[in-house]
Amino acid sequence: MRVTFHEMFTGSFKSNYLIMNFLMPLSEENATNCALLAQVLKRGCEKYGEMHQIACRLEELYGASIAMSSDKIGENISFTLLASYLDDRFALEGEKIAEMTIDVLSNILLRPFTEGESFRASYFTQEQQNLADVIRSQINDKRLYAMLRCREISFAGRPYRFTSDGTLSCLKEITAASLYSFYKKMLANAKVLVTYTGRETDVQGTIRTCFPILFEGEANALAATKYDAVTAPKNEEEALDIVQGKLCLGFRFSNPPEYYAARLFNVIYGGSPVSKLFMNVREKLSLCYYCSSEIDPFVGALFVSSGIESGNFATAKDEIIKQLDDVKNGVITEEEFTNAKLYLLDYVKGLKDAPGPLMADATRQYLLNIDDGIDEQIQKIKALTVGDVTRAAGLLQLDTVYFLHEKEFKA
Amino acid sequence: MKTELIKYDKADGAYYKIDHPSGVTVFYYPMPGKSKSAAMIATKFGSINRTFRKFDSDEWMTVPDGIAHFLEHKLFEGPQGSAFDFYAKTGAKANAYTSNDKTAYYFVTADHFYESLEILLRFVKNPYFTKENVEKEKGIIGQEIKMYEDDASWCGYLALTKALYKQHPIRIDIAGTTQTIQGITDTMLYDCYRVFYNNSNLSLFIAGDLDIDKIISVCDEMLPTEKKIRIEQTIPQDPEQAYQKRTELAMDISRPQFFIGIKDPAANSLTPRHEICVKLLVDCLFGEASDFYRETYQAGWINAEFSAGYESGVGFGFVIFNGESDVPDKVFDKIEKIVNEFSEADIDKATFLRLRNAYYGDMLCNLDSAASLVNRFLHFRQLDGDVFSALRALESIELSDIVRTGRELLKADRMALSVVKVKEGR
Repeated sequence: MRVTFHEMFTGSFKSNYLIMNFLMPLSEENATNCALLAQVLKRGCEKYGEMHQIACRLEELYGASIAMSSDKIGENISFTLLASYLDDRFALEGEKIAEMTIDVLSNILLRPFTEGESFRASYFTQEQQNLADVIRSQINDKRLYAMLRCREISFAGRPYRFTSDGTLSCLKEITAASLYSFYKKMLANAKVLVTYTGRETDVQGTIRTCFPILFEGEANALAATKYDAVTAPKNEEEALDIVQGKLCLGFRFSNPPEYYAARLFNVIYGGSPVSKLFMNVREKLSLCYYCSSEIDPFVGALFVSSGIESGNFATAKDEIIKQLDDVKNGVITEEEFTNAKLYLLDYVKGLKDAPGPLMADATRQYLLNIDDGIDEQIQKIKALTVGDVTRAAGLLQLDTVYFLHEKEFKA
Repeated sequence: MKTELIKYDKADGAYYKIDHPSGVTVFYYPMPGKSKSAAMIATKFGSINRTFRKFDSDEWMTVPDGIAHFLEHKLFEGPQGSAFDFYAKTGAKANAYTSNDKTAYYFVTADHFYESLEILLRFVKNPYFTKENVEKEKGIIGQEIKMYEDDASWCGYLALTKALYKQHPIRIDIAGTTQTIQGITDTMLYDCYRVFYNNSNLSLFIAGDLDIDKIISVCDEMLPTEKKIRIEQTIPQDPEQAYQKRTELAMDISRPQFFIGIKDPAANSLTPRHEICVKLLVDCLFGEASDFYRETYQAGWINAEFSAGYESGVGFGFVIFNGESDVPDKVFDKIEKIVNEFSEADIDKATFLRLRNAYYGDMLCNLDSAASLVNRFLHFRQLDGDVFSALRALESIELSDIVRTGRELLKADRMALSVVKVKEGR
């Protein structure tokens, strides 16, 4: 089956959410094309007209929202369509908000403005320029830029080094016709994940009726998780006109850790305010305002990001590594362990009320081949031991140290 | 203790207003069937509250910039450790923020709500400022300030407020500067605390599937009765006109960013109704469906990053446009032309009705999560309204209200442009 459904019915929201992920392996071409497609498609469709006319229609529909984006999920890329709309029971004149919003969505996706076998040239050219600006603007947010650079260095030679915006060099080569052919192939062969949360309704029937093309054709394979051997850590620094140093560390798991153990590890190490990085690097040593870690389970990597006084580079780096060594060596108090578990359990229990994280969790599970409901997740987290956490941490090795600092700074 | 139930059927919701004997006003919005709950306690103390009469004294004081935010950081600390250590035992996700006109402390949790509420009220009502812990915090906040100094959007926004306002403290950075925070002492923090954290200046907002009696009993236990005080303070007012028409700075970025503002003198006594009128006006003229948006987007003067909105709080408000552009001055000129030539012909009935629908939907969706609900409630409460204020106002707002708002607000001499240029050599 090319299309997978994940439905979570609940009567407790005033709005409903529908996400369609068109999934493909991450590559420079796929990322750039997805990002550009998201921009070009929003320019309009035959039935509803141009961008501003679509905006009018959505305002009429009680401020329904339709967004398109390109999202990197490990070493796969998703062309994502998101619709959120007020539930029909709140319509003042009895309008069928859901049906009418999905009609806008399907028209935007399936019947865009074209010229022969090509997207409308004027829209294409302008959006190509707009995307180039977006790619260049990555440097504007220095904190994010430092994290992107750390990933790029750590994953040199792997598709993961590309961002979801793609690259300028690839963008230059794309034409209105080549993008159209990418789009046709995507509709014909991409794996599709449909996620819905909201009032109970026949999601599958609606999608079959509105998007029949998705139920034909063979699905392309996706990229699987792959673990590289870690060699000596790569050290890189860069200078920009800034006032605060941004330090990012990349670590790699030598083998796949157990999924829930790795998540709990991250809460203990740097993924929460109960973590060792927050409590020590920030609260105890006052070295920074932010210092946190995140795990990418799809590529087996851990990234730490922090904003520091550049003169404290060595102290901060050593402390971040020391805190990881402590977790590896089982230097975790019973209190730290219990607190971290509570924190993670609270997050999982709250998923039911949080459409965004709930849907992200469904996508993550689908791509990792996990199928755990909220209750199962809770059971698995409850069963974790300190040993599970230290085992997961033990698989980590330092891979990259990236330091972005002021131009005047000399190490 | 007076308890009132306020219903609003169209939103399928209701809340309790409890005048707690301690002097704190408590609002509880039941959300049956939800797994998450949220609580937020807030004081009308933000970066604009700088000059006030000291508690039980005739002496007035003016505090260093950034002190409200500094106090927010320090309040988390107690003799037994940080409030985060206590929250850690309940699993609640807790945080706080300081804005121009308020400081808010909150948590969101799926379990252990009442224990978490105890923690929240305990640390907010028990300040613990020492010379040592105040000094220690200067390092952390110094890094927070520097993080913002590297953020072009924040710098451009702040420069706009400095161009719009001559003396109103909205032009001051909420966190202060690395210099001003050096002057903050534990004594000053206590001086601020005694005035602005008096129970009569605090409101507590709670949402979730909870038990009202248990909420009240936690409040009874954690909130001591206090002598009610009347806060005396001065906030310098500004002329109606913008202070400077144009300001610019240069940063290490890829493309210029612009911030355009229109000062709104009517916001000196801001109401939820006025706020929604301005928002509707701005969306009619500059929203994604407007002629302005279509023309400037097609000309390549703006891109999808463009936004038009209304920045407002207690005693201030300005329309704000933000985006990236190679020709920010052209965007400014075009907006100025619309401002100069505004007439009732610029807004048709259909546009108005469409946007009213969109707002109605947006306001309802904001009631979906406990966390966004308490935030929204706080915002309107600051303006002496409640969580349903905007919805109620929408029912009675007519096209003529929007036109009148436009006539009164849109004046070119109230406009300013702040540009963040690309630093040379990039």
